Amino acid sequence: MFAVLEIEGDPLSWYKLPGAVHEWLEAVGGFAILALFLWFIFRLINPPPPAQRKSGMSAGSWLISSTALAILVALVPIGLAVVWDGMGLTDPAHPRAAKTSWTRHLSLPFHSTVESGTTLGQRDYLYFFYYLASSWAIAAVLVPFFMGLARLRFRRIWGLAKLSFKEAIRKRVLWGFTAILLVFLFASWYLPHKPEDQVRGYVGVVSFVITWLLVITAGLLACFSIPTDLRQQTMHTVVTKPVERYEIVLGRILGFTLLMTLVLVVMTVLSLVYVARAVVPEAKEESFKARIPVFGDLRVQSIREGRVTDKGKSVGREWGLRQYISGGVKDEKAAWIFHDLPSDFAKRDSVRCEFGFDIFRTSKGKYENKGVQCSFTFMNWKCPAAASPETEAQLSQELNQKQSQGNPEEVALGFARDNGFYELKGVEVVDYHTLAVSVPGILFQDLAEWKKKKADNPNPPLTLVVRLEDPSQLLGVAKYDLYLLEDEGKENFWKNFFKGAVGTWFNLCLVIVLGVTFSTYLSGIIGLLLTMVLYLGGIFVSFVKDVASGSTSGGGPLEAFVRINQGLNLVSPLDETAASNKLALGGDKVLIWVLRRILNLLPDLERLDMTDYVAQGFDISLFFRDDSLALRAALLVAYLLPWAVLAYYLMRSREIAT
Amino acid sequence: MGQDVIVETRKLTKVYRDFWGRKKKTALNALNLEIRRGEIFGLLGPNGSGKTTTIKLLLGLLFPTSGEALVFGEPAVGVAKNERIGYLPEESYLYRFLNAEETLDFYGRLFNMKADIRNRRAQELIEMVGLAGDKKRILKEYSKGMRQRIGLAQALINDPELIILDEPTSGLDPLGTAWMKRLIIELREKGKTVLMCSHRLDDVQKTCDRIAILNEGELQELGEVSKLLEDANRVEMRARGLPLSEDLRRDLEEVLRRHGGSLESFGHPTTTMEDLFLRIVEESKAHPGRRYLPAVERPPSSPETTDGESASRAKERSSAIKESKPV
Repeated sequence: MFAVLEIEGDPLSWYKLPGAVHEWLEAVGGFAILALFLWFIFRLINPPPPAQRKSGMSAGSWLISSTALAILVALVPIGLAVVWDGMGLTDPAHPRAAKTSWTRHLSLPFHSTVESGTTLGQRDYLYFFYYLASSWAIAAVLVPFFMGLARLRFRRIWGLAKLSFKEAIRKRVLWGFTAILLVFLFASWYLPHKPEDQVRGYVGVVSFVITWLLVITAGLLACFSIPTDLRQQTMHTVVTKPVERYEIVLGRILGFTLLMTLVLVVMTVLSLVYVARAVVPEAKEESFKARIPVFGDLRVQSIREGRVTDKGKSVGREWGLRQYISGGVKDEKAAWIFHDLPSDFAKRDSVRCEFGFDIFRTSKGKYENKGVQCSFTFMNWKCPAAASPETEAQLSQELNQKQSQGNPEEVALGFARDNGFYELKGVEVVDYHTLAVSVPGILFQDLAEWKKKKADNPNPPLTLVVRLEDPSQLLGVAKYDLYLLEDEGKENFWKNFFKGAVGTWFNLCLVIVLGVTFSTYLSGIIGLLLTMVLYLGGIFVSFVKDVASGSTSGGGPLEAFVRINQGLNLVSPLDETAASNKLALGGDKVLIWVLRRILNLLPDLERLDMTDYVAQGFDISLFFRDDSLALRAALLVAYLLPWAVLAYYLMRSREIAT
Repeated sequence: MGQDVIVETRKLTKVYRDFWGRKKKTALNALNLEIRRGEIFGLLGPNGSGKTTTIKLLLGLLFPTSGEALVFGEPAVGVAKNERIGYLPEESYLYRFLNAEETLDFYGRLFNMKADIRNRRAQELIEMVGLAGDKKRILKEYSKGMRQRIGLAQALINDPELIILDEPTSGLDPLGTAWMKRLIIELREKGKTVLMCSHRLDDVQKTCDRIAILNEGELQELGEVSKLLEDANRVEMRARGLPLSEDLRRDLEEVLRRHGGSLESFGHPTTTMEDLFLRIVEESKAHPGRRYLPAVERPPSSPETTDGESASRAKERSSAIKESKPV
């Protein structure tokens, strides 16, 4: 089986939460400031009549409440950072020293997440004022929102939710889901038959079809429901009851979410049965797993232009996920540093290490379709080479000498026990396959001791160095290509399948909230268009991030257009003196500035999608590990919250009868 | 605002603007109005006069451009006042995929009513509007009259103090219209206040206590119906037990001349089409199987005179009525 997680970017981790909240405040605060500014201008031009002014809260109480709430808002990330620190939830790669003061978090309002600095300078004070302004703006927007929330009643929301539910069922929307039967009937004609690829293929297809069927249906329901009510004037008989406008919004969201959830559960069950019956027993044996991997941080070292660098080589492949190291060069290596390990490892005789690398061949002929030889060097925290890489070669030589004099296996285990150093040479690696080596348990026996002294010990519990032995070949590595196996999860595939469906549920919630938000003010078709634009933007958010950061090969959109016209490749230098090229480069700067703002509006759908985990057989953590469901749910809530607040104001400010 | 005034508008103005803020139409201009507790108030005017705009402003469906509208002393844009209001829109815009019970249950929930109260109230109203036999059918299958009745039921679900009816008799047959008018009067007798908007002037005349007449967004007339319709220049008399004759006519002319007046018309008064229709329908229900016969088939017999009918007409009616024998 070939199983590898292709994840770009850092995983979601609990220790990053305070920083994430700070970043969120920065981004949302900017939009809140803009919204307040536009609202002030609008009110200056179109002041409301006195009667309408009387029905809201007075300006004075709004200012006082907003200021009080702003203090709370500004303190949230600081408070979280202090609490996290106290709980020991820090970056395992940079553990906090025992006597570090919590007061270092008080400098957080002076540091931007976009441009960070280490010393307090003039820019940092400017950022501090921006931080205060954005906290106040968020509070000012939230005060009337919270007051509105206090008037809501669940019974009314539930009544409106039931209405939406019944509407969708009685209008026979659910018939559309019978399209899934086409997949069940005909998918096997097109899907792979090799046992190692079957589960991946089937899971990928059913997940794709279910997601798109549900997303499109949810989008149509969410975007057209309120505009249809307004057009048919059925909304009049609702709004003339003691119903808060926001209850109408929440009722719609709740009703559609419940309906889609039910449909998702049914379709997930049917799909699981379909997959279980469609794949061959060998595929089940090999791939019906939910492995719990322990990933390490990857450090790659290679020689570029005669110098040792901490970046791998590029072999010209478009997708930059992997870095490459050359074979037969001592200084070129890939090191996985495991900053923490499960305590359970200390009780095991051995720990399985699985990996799947890419091989780039510089020559054809006899080397094609054959594996390459790699060496695997394991060093625990007691190993001198873990602190000083120069001694690694020394230890390796010492080990080789001892192995030549005795039983190599016994010698290797003894050496591992005494020096925390274990080496495997000549391991054959083939691409498009997941392989494994066994790490002796003796390397982990003092893990408990390491955990106690973690704060004062800079050495990680395990470092694994991989080198390619075959010359004239290159080995492609990525962070998630190698892991230690905490649990094989053979009984948990079906649970994992349902956990993966939660990713689809996240997509549905996103589309429903966006659709209902837009439908409060826009027509159905425009709302649907906007929702789909944001959704598709979310699918390609990594690409948009690359363009917005200017890191794409070939420059921005206009530069790329110029290159295509002039027949230039991605790396050829552009003549910057030519007027047209100057225009293109200048235009790209503007476009990139706009894209950076738009980026905040796009959902990160790659984070919400967990199909890959299920298809590749990796367990999805519920709560504690990186990229857990809880963290993804928090990300979704953080994205949807500002839209939900926007829906409140849009619905409140619009006239129902036009 | 006086204690018994429950709806008040002060220079209420509504100007419709386009997206760019340019004025398109002044739908209502500085309307000053008061509606008192316990009265039936009629809002009249030709199409486009601002009646529906006024109602929508009072219900909070539109925001005023200037001036204010107060309902129960609170701004009309507020939500709290809706607890005490019932609204029947012109076309009875209800969710057609729900049946009658579900409709009333839904609207009852919106008043935060508990389930048992909601159910009891829904059954009472369904009985009251005569839809007990059709309560499980979805509204899509209802006739116009049935939808109007369920619309009225949802307007009364919360036993409101103020009921706003927009063209309540629109699309109803005479039976339905009579039923609706009876109900409106009953509501007033229970102490409710009714604001009614209608084109059917005869309905307004028979039910409303006070009316306001709008035209092109301006208030043209306001006052009690009886006083507005009174013709102070004429005297009307009705008599019974007298056959029409020239002698009678001459004697009446003489009396009126002595008092300085003149006779304008002399003859049998006419009933209204509505009364005729209702009477015939009632009689046909009381005598199943009866039907109209053309004159050539009528047997000669002495007719009975009924109230309000001329002798010849009564004779024609009784002759025409023939019990049809089963075949």
